[in-house]
Amino acid sequence: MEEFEPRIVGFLCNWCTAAAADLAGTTRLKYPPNIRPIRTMCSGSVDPFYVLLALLRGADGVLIGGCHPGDCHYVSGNYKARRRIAVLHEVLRTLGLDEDRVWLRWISASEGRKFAETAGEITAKMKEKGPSPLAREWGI
Amino acid sequence: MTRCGILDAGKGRAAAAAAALAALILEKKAAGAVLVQKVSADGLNAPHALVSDPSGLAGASPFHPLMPVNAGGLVSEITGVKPPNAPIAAFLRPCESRALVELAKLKQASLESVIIIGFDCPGTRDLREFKGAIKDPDAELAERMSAGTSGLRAACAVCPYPVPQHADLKIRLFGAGSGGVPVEAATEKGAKFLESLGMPSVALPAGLEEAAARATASRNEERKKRFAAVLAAAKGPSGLAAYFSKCIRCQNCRRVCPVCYCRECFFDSPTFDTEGDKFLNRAKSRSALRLPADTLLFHLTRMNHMAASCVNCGMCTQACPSGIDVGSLFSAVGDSVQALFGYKPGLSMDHEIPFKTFREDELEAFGN
Repeated sequence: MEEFEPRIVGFLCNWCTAAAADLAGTTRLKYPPNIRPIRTMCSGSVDPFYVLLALLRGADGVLIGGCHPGDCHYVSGNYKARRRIAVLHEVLRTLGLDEDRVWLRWISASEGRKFAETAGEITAKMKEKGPSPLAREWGI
Repeated sequence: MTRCGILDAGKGRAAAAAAALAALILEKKAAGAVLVQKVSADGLNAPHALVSDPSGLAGASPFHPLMPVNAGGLVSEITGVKPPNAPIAAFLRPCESRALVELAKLKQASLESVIIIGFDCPGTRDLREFKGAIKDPDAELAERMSAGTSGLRAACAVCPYPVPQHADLKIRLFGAGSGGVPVEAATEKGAKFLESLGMPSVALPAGLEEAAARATASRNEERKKRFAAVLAAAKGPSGLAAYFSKCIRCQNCRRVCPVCYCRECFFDSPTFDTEGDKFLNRAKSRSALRLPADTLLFHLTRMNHMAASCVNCGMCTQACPSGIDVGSLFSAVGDSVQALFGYKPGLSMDHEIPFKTFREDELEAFGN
């Protein structure tokens, strides 16, 4: 049987994680190709709606990459993102949905290696979890 | 010592006494208008009315058993653009004043020109199930007060705050003896207002807090049971699909939600207008695509956006044409989201809405 390849949507901040992803590429680090990156201007601009949209329309996992606390290009976007994602986790957990399919990670522009490692970790974890039931339920 | 005025229109005549208070406010010109419910001609409902003259108070029913809308939203409509020059005195249920406080924090309403007259709320009846006209509001009120939580609207039976929280005046129905109904001045503004009415001020009678605590405890007991059952039913993808299977995506729940304040909802935008092929692709990605599509996306997004401010008024459940108990699930999720930040919506203007602020040293499990 063919191995399950999770589909992971990445919302990557333009000022850090998206640059880190570039750096990982230019330094020729190998990492699994399961993440579909979407560059956003700030992790704070990722409304939970977009995360839910990804989860409900077929993503097995979602990675939100933002700047380390204190480093936000817009001063406090990442702190706001943290609250939003914490709320999203709480909503998902309360409703018996798997909140551990949504990851928030701080990855700075110089952390190409951390990005490659994180891509490996989330892919491995989603493989272990298997296909997302939310992405396959027809009646939602 | 807390002071209060006494409303007395005779034994067991609390509703009549509160209507008399409304008349007194207008006669003394203590407010430009009074916001209060008025019984409709057929007696089957009591819409809210902004009453400017004592003659307009015929049929006024401040503690009416039906709640057609959350009046917190009405006050937002009146004060949101520019507050009126003359203050309005608004009779508000605890969930209505809590919604108003949330709206004021969101800059959708101003409390400046509003005197909130809160009252202990024995709960309301389901608007659609309610049959028969109300002949004597006081007899009806007595019946509701003694019935506990039985026969109440779903949200009212599990109300976390049957006693007013943020209010200038508090009409204390729970535990009021035969000596009339106490009206507590709960703020400085309320005290001045009460003074301007020329009501004699006395010490607050004993026993009110105990009665209020009893009413609150019994509802919270029901709340625990109901929410556990609802969360068990709506658990996981299949549970949620079943819970919302009757959803027709009419969005009535968000239209009547007092705290869902966006002028233009994202779900009304053309974002969702898309090519037929995309629908087919989505259908191919799983065995079938439910239509109307994106119902759960809508409900989950609304929970993420607004559950932190949910005041458990249950208007969403009442407005659902398919009879889905949207409110119980929304409130259950609201309880856990609010607990995350120790936030209690609508209690005080001093508590900041979780999404409007942040702390550097919190939620450190996230991000690393």
